[in-house]
Amino acid sequence: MQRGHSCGGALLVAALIVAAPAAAQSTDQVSLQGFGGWAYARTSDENTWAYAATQQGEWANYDFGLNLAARPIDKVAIRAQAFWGENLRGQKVDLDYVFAEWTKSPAFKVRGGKVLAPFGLYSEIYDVGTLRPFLYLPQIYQGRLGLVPKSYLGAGITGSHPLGSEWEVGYDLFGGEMIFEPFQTPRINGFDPSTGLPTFETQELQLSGRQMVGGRILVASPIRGLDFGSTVIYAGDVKVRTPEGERIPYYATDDATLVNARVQYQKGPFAVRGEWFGALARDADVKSWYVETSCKLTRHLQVAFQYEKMDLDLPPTEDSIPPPLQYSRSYGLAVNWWLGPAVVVKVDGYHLDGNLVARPELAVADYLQGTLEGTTNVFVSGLQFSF
Amino acid sequence: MKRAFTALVLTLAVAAANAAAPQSGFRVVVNASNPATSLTRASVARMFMKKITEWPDGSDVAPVDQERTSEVRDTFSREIHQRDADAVSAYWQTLVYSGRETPPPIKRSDAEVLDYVRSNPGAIGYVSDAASLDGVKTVAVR
Repeated sequence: MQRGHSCGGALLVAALIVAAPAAAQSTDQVSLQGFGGWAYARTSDENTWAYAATQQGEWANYDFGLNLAARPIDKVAIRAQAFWGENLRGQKVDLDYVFAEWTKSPAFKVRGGKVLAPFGLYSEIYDVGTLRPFLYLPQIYQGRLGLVPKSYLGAGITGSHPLGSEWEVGYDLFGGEMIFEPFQTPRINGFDPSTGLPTFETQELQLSGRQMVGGRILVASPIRGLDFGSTVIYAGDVKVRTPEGERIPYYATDDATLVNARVQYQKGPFAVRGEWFGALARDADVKSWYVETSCKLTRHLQVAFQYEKMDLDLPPTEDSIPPPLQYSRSYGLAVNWWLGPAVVVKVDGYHLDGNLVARPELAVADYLQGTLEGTTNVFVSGLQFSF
Repeated sequence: MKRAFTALVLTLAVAAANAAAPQSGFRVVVNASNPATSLTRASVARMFMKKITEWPDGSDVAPVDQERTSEVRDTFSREIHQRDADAVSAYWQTLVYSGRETPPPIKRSDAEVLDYVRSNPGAIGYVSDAASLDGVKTVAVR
């Protein structure tokens, strides 16, 4: 079981038990919703992808989440979301968020607790499969880099305000500690006495950025369905959090700036969206962008295409990471069959060039031996639902 | 001549009734104590999106929705939100799962919506044209 949040699920279950009678009394005061899904995923070679796909094929990719909102007193809302799931990283139980929010008006709300990071298009709906055309998110979100901020522990203000002529601006300002999606990396744990070569074990780490401040602006235009925005986050004390909860120095930096710019247009059955990310640090930058378009051809049938480009920029003197592990180009195609507005069966295929996100566990060793596969095909199929 | 006059009067009466109900397929209703007589389409949309949360007198707006699959919700969504019901549902799902807002309560029929509107002074709902509007007030949408 990953992370030390198993008590989070128990807390939410307890909250649900307490909330149940209230829900029976008044659905205006308590809202309970959920989501989940399952996927089979495999790759064409020994490269693994998204902690979900291997050459042998992986069946154990599933998740389920429960979302609870309650309004115990006027102007104050309590919101929490629990997540259960399994993939190549093992089983995971976590609280995506739990916070209290005081509302002065739609233009001014104050929130405190563990809050989803207002970053990219998908960072606040990270786990909800029915709100995206592909089974998996673009790899800047869900891949092995672990660079997209997932939630913050602290306080923030949020709101939205009409600007006239159907323009509207939304805003967030927040501070505290930023928590990122965990990632796995090999670690030398000894040496083989017969060969003298090092042996490895996989460790799971998670970036944590303290002394963090961030802000987001979202603009909805009078052209219905067209909106755009940007987020900037600065963290002055970036370290790696170990599974034991210890914060240790991260080799690439001690501070970082994260930038996102996004635009999307949705009209009827058609949607197109694009995002740019920059994770800018002292010794390494990661820059990525993707464009994704989808169209519902009938009430049931949807097709989608995605192109994603990611690059790791290192100083010229840094040569410990082989060139194939510094970039990724991904082409994705999805064919979806919507059984209803909240249940969908998806079949996705990707072709990847580069090993920044598709790679074997010991990619550097494979590269040195000349056995690293530079391209990868991925097949993913499954279903997702929400209620 | 008398028959022609009667036909003319009936035609004008039907035309007048239609003019009083610019929406087709649904009517927007509020509590009988609510002084509002007309609202703009954009205001109604923002009330149902919970972006306008207070009536002019400072009381809370309490929107109430209909079932996601109902015909009247689809018509209301297209005319007021100018999006289909699935798009509006996706909008609410995004807000719910991101922890930003919860959608209005959903009632299963016109009768349940009318009960809710009758018993909540700040309520605003919509019902199909065929619904009996006893005890609530219709609001013109301009």
